Amino acid sequence: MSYPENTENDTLIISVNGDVDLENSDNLREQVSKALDANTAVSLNMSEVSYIDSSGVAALIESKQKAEEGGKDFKIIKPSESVTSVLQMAKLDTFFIIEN
Amino acid sequence: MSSKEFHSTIKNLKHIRQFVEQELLKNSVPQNIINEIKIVIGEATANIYKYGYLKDEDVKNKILAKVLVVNDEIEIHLFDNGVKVDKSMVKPRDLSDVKPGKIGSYFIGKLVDYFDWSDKKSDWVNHLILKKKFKS
Repeated sequence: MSYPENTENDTLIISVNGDVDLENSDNLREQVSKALDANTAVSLNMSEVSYIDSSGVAALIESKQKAEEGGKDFKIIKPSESVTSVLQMAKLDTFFIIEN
Repeated sequence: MSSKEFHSTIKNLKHIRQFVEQELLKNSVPQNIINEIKIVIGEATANIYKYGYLKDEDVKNKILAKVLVVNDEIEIHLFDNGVKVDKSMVKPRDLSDVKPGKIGSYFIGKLVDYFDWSDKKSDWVNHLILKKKFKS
Protein backbone atom coordinates (compact mmCIF):
# COMPACT_ATOMS: atom_id res chain seq x y z
CA MET A 1 0.00 0.00 0.00
CA SER A 2 1.26 3.48 -0.78
CA TYR A 3 -0.16 6.87 0.07
CA PRO A 4 -1.25 9.38 -2.62
CA GLU A 5 1.40 11.81 -3.80
CA ASN A 6 1.31 15.16 -5.58
CA THR A 7 3.84 17.88 -6.29
CA GLU A 8 3.40 21.52 -5.36
CA ASN A 9 6.11 24.16 -5.82
CA ASP A 10 8.89 21.57 -6.22
CA THR A 11 7.81 19.78 -3.03
CA LEU A 12 6.54 16.21 -3.14
CA ILE A 13 3.57 15.96 -0.80
CA ILE A 14 2.56 12.56 0.53
CA SER A 15 -0.98 12.48 1.93
CA VAL A 16 -0.93 10.01 4.82
CA ASN A 17 -4.30 8.77 6.03
CA GLY A 18 -5.94 6.31 8.43
CA ASP A 19 -4.03 4.49 11.14
CA VAL A 20 -0.23 4.60 11.07
CA ASP A 21 0.75 1.60 13.16
CA LEU A 22 2.99 -1.45 13.14
CA GLU A 23 1.06 -2.82 10.15
CA ASN A 24 1.92 0.03 7.80
CA SER A 25 4.69 2.18 9.30
CA ASP A 26 7.31 0.27 7.27
CA ASN A 27 5.42 1.19 4.10
CA LEU A 28 5.43 4.85 5.10
CA ARG A 29 9.15 4.73 5.91
CA GLU A 30 9.96 3.16 2.52
CA GLN A 31 7.73 5.53 0.58
CA VAL A 32 9.31 8.60 2.22
CA SER A 33 12.78 7.17 1.73
CA LYS A 34 12.21 6.73 -2.01
CA ALA A 35 10.63 10.17 -2.21
CA LEU A 36 13.68 11.72 -0.53
CA ASP A 37 15.95 9.94 -3.03
CA ALA A 38 14.11 11.53 -5.94
CA ASN A 39 13.16 14.97 -4.57
CA THR A 40 14.81 17.87 -2.76
CA ALA A 41 11.76 18.54 -0.58
CA VAL A 42 9.20 16.14 0.85
CA SER A 43 6.22 16.99 3.05
CA LEU A 44 3.77 14.69 4.77
CA ASN A 45 0.21 15.92 4.92
CA MET A 46 -1.02 14.22 8.11
CA SER A 47 -4.41 15.90 8.41
CA GLU A 48 -6.25 12.62 7.77
CA VAL A 49 -4.30 10.43 10.18
CA SER A 50 -6.67 9.04 12.79
CA TYR A 51 -4.11 7.17 14.90
CA ILE A 52 -0.33 6.95 15.10
CA ASP A 53 1.74 4.70 17.36
CA SER A 54 5.40 4.61 18.33
CA SER A 55 6.33 2.68 15.16
CA GLY A 56 4.80 5.51 13.11
CA VAL A 57 6.69 8.07 15.16
CA ALA A 58 9.90 6.09 14.57
CA ALA A 59 9.24 6.21 10.81
CA LEU A 60 8.89 10.00 11.02
CA ILE A 61 12.14 10.35 12.99
CA GLU A 62 14.04 8.16 10.52
CA SER A 63 12.61 10.13 7.61
CA LYS A 64 13.75 13.43 9.08
CA GLN A 65 17.19 12.02 9.83
CA LYS A 66 17.53 10.72 6.27
CA ALA A 67 16.47 14.13 4.91
CA GLU A 68 19.06 15.89 7.06
CA GLU A 69 21.82 13.52 5.96
CA GLY A 70 20.98 14.22 2.32
CA GLY A 71 20.52 17.95 2.72
CA LYS A 72 16.82 17.63 1.84
CA ASP A 73 13.78 19.42 3.30
CA PHE A 74 11.29 17.35 5.29
CA LYS A 75 8.14 18.78 6.82
CA ILE A 76 4.93 17.62 8.44
CA ILE A 77 1.94 19.65 7.34
CA LYS A 78 -1.50 20.00 8.94
CA PRO A 79 -1.06 17.23 11.53
CA SER A 80 -4.34 15.89 12.91
CA GLU A 81 -5.11 16.17 16.61
CA SER A 82 -4.02 12.55 17.09
CA VAL A 83 -0.64 13.19 15.47
CA THR A 84 -0.14 16.48 17.31
CA SER A 85 -0.89 15.00 20.73
CA VAL A 86 1.45 12.04 20.19
CA LEU A 87 4.29 14.26 18.93
CA GLN A 88 3.80 16.56 21.92
CA MET A 89 3.78 13.62 24.31
CA ALA A 90 7.00 12.32 22.77
CA LYS A 91 8.46 15.86 23.03
CA LEU A 92 9.00 15.86 19.28
CA ASP A 93 6.81 18.82 18.38
CA THR A 94 9.89 21.06 18.11
CA PHE A 95 12.09 18.36 16.54
CA PHE A 96 10.05 18.37 13.33
CA ILE A 97 9.25 21.32 11.09
CA ILE A 98 5.47 21.44 11.34
CA GLU A 99 3.21 23.65 9.23
CA ASN A 100 -0.39 23.99 10.35
CA MET B 1 -16.48 -7.16 32.31
CA SER B 2 -16.32 -7.68 28.54
CA SER B 3 -13.69 -9.88 27.03
CA LYS B 4 -12.63 -11.05 23.59
CA GLU B 5 -9.87 -13.33 22.38
CA PHE B 6 -7.87 -12.46 19.28
CA HIS B 7 -5.41 -14.32 17.11
CA SER B 8 -2.11 -12.44 17.47
CA THR B 9 -1.59 -11.03 13.99
CA ILE B 10 -0.39 -7.67 12.79
CA LYS B 11 -3.81 -7.01 11.24
CA ASN B 12 -5.63 -7.78 14.49
CA LEU B 13 -3.79 -5.09 16.46
CA LYS B 14 -6.26 -2.59 15.01
CA HIS B 15 -9.20 -4.87 15.85
CA ILE B 16 -8.10 -5.12 19.48
CA ARG B 17 -7.94 -1.31 19.67
CA GLN B 18 -11.40 -1.13 18.11
CA PHE B 19 -12.81 -3.67 20.58
CA VAL B 20 -11.51 -1.67 23.54
CA GLU B 21 -12.77 1.58 21.99
CA GLN B 22 -16.28 0.14 21.55
CA GLU B 23 -16.38 -1.11 25.13
CA LEU B 24 -15.31 2.28 26.47
CA LEU B 25 -17.88 4.05 24.28
CA LYS B 26 -20.61 1.76 25.69
CA ASN B 27 -19.56 2.93 29.14
CA SER B 28 -19.68 6.63 28.19
CA VAL B 29 -15.97 7.18 28.69
CA PRO B 30 -14.98 10.65 27.34
CA GLN B 31 -13.47 10.61 23.83
CA ASN B 32 -10.17 12.20 24.91
CA ILE B 33 -9.66 9.39 27.42
CA ILE B 34 -10.61 6.77 24.81
CA ASN B 35 -7.99 8.23 22.45
CA GLU B 36 -5.34 7.91 25.16
CA ILE B 37 -6.35 4.36 26.00
CA LYS B 38 -6.19 3.42 22.32
CA ILE B 39 -2.56 4.53 22.26
CA VAL B 40 -1.84 2.46 25.37
CA ILE B 41 -3.57 -0.65 24.00
CA GLY B 42 -1.85 -0.19 20.64
CA GLU B 43 1.58 -0.07 22.24
CA ALA B 44 0.91 -2.92 24.68
CA THR B 45 -0.48 -5.28 22.02
CA ALA B 46 2.26 -4.37 19.53
CA ASN B 47 4.77 -5.35 22.22
CA ILE B 48 2.98 -8.68 22.73
CA TYR B 49 3.02 -9.29 18.97
CA LYS B 50 6.69 -8.29 18.54
CA TYR B 51 8.41 -9.40 21.74
CA GLY B 52 5.96 -11.94 23.16
CA TYR B 53 5.10 -13.94 20.06
CA LEU B 54 8.13 -12.72 18.06
CA LYS B 55 5.83 -11.80 15.13
CA ASP B 56 4.88 -15.49 14.74
CA GLU B 57 1.26 -15.56 13.54
CA ASP B 58 0.67 -19.23 14.41
CA VAL B 59 -3.03 -19.80 15.13
CA LYS B 60 -2.26 -20.89 18.68
CA ASN B 61 -0.87 -17.43 19.51
CA LYS B 62 -3.71 -15.59 21.20
CA ILE B 63 -4.29 -12.29 22.96
CA LEU B 64 -7.19 -12.04 25.39
CA ALA B 65 -8.47 -8.53 26.16
CA LYS B 66 -10.77 -7.79 29.10
CA VAL B 67 -12.29 -4.37 29.71
CA LEU B 68 -13.96 -3.17 32.90
CA VAL B 69 -15.26 0.31 33.75
CA VAL B 70 -16.38 0.88 37.33
CA ASN B 71 -16.78 4.14 39.23
CA ASP B 72 -14.88 6.28 36.75
CA GLU B 73 -11.98 3.87 36.56
CA ILE B 74 -10.99 1.89 33.48
CA GLU B 75 -9.34 -1.45 34.06
CA ILE B 76 -7.95 -3.40 31.13
CA HIS B 77 -6.35 -6.83 31.25
CA LEU B 78 -4.28 -8.24 28.39
CA PHE B 79 -3.29 -11.91 28.48
CA ASP B 80 -0.86 -13.73 26.21
CA ASN B 81 1.18 -16.92 26.06
CA GLY B 82 4.29 -15.45 24.49
CA VAL B 83 7.77 -15.07 25.96
CA LYS B 84 7.52 -14.16 29.65
CA VAL B 85 7.97 -10.44 30.18
CA ASP B 86 11.14 -9.47 32.03
CA LYS B 87 9.89 -6.46 33.96
CA SER B 88 13.44 -5.22 34.55
CA MET B 89 13.77 -4.70 30.79
CA VAL B 90 10.70 -2.48 30.58
CA LYS B 91 12.15 0.96 31.07
CA PRO B 92 11.09 4.15 29.31
CA ARG B 93 14.07 5.78 27.65
CA ASP B 94 15.32 9.36 27.93
CA LEU B 95 13.28 11.37 25.42
CA SER B 96 15.90 14.12 25.14
CA ASP B 97 17.96 11.68 23.06
CA VAL B 98 15.87 11.71 19.88
CA LYS B 99 16.06 8.36 18.14
CA PRO B 100 13.58 6.00 16.56
CA GLY B 101 12.03 3.31 18.74
CA LYS B 102 11.53 2.41 22.39
CA ILE B 103 9.02 5.12 23.20
CA GLY B 104 6.04 2.80 23.47
CA SER B 105 6.58 2.04 27.15
CA TYR B 106 6.98 5.78 27.79
CA PHE B 107 3.55 6.35 26.22
CA ILE B 108 2.00 3.62 28.38
CA GLY B 109 3.52 5.00 31.58
CA LYS B 110 2.47 8.53 30.68
CA LEU B 111 -1.16 7.71 29.83
CA VAL B 112 -2.29 5.30 32.55
CA ASP B 113 -2.22 5.58 36.32
CA TYR B 114 -1.04 2.02 36.82
CA PHE B 115 0.42 -0.78 34.74
CA ASP B 116 2.02 -4.00 35.89
CA TRP B 117 2.14 -7.68 35.10
CA SER B 118 0.32 -9.91 37.54
CA ASP B 119 2.36 -12.43 39.50
CA LYS B 120 -0.72 -14.55 40.20
CA LYS B 121 -0.72 -18.01 38.71
CA SER B 122 -2.96 -18.31 35.66
CA ASP B 123 -3.44 -20.24 32.44
CA TRP B 124 -1.61 -17.47 30.59
CA VAL B 125 2.11 -16.68 30.60
CA ASN B 126 1.64 -12.91 30.83
CA HIS B 127 -1.18 -10.89 32.35
CA LEU B 128 -0.80 -7.13 31.94
CA ILE B 129 -3.06 -4.94 34.08
CA LEU B 130 -3.70 -1.32 33.09
CA LYS B 131 -5.75 1.16 35.13
CA LYS B 132 -6.81 4.72 34.52
CA LYS B 133 -9.20 6.99 36.41
CA PHE B 134 -11.23 9.58 34.55
CA LYS B 135 -13.84 12.26 35.22
CA SER B 136 -17.17 11.59 33.51
